[in-house]
Amino acid sequence: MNVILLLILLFLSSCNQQGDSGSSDFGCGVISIGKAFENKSNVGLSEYASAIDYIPLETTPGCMLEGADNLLIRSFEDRIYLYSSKSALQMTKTLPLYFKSNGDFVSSIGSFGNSNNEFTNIQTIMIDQSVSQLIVVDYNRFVYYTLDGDFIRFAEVKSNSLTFNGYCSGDNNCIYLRNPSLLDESQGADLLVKVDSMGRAMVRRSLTRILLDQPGTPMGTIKVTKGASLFSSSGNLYLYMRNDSLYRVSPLDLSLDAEFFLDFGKYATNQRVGATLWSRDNLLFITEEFVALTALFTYGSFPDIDRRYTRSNFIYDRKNGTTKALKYNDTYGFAGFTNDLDGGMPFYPTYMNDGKMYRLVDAVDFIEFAQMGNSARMKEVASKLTDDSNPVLVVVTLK
Amino acid sequence: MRKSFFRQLRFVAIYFFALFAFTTIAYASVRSLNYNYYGPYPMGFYCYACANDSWLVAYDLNGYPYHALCNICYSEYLLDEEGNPIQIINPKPVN
Repeated sequence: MNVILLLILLFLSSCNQQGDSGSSDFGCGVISIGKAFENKSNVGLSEYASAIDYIPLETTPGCMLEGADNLLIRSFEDRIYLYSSKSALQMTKTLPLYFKSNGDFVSSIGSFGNSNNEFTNIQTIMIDQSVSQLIVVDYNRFVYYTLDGDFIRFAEVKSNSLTFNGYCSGDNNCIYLRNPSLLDESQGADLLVKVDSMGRAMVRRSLTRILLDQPGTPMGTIKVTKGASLFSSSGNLYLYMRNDSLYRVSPLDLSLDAEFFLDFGKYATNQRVGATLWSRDNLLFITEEFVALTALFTYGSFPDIDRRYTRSNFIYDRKNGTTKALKYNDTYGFAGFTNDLDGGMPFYPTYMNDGKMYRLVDAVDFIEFAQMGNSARMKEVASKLTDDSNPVLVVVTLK
Repeated sequence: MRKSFFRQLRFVAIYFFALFAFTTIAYASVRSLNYNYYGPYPMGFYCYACANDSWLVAYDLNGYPYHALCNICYSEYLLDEEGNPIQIINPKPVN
């Protein structure tokens, strides 16, 4: 039964797996996650990047940032925007902050409130590069600002969701995915929606969800439904569906083209939830050279896996078709590219745009990491930091 | 006699209706208040999805925890008064 189900899923995915070759007859790259996970290794940053820099963000009372783990990054040209990923949950809400790429603070963006030019929560921030606008996504509202933070207008967008998973599609429109995300078995499909700049739905596409067993929860084995996840990378939109396939989304009509097949091997989803692509915070980085992704080996399904690897990072080299799982670095406490550019801390991106990858590191950690490594630049930056300084932005330039 | 009986019946019906409505509205109002979350801190159980014990916890007006949000993957749990998970209500990030 499982074999038949797997065959049907393989057929539906329209990708043809070809052993270790990493590619298929249909030109669909095969990312061998299951196999790579069994043999974790180190990958040098110099394979894909040419430079690394460390930008200390200005620290003044008007621009104090919270912990790096809670911050999300957006960049455009020489502008860096930082905002809290947990804005909706916090007692003290902090506005998005705008920095120059050299770390100088410029201003905050918008204000909290119920007026038309304000927002009550920040679900996400999008940058529409086609018209150089910043969009703060509030509950069922888009609030548009100039890149300098001047209010332009707002539009009502009825996503009716407490989390917003969407991106600008590059043509002054936005595409978002709505998951029901409830245990209710009668819940219907995911909905992929394209809206124009006035918030009007232009195209809708319904995506079927499947019902699976989730073992290992505090309540034992429960039923969950699993659907799609939407990602954005290098200006393209990608949809992860059917637990094994990444499709490129056409911004015109929301049609889907299979681009990558994720082979989870023995960790694949069958009747129970298996390994899956990590869907929070858009941790999918696709360039012409490589694909960097994070996979979740769901703890309830795989309780025997070392918990350091429950969430693992993988690199798929598009030129030679090989997949590698990044080894956990016990010294630094996370898995990333080995920094063979300047001998500093390992690096794994949390954001990528315009040929650069970014990561924030708390000042207290950065000072410690600088002492552990051989990077002269890290030591120089760390010498000017205190434990109370704002996080340091690590910027890696891709080849 | 009959008229009095129906009046009493109507009174009882209105009373129960009002009681039900008040209770429902009061409960809905309390639950819809914008609760703040505290944490993240460990609660003594691991998230079934991402294996982390780091939770943002919301408390009701009596000071009992009732909702835990995984700080890493945003899976959501309902809690009993002791802080033990009793139901998963939003199995993120397994969409």
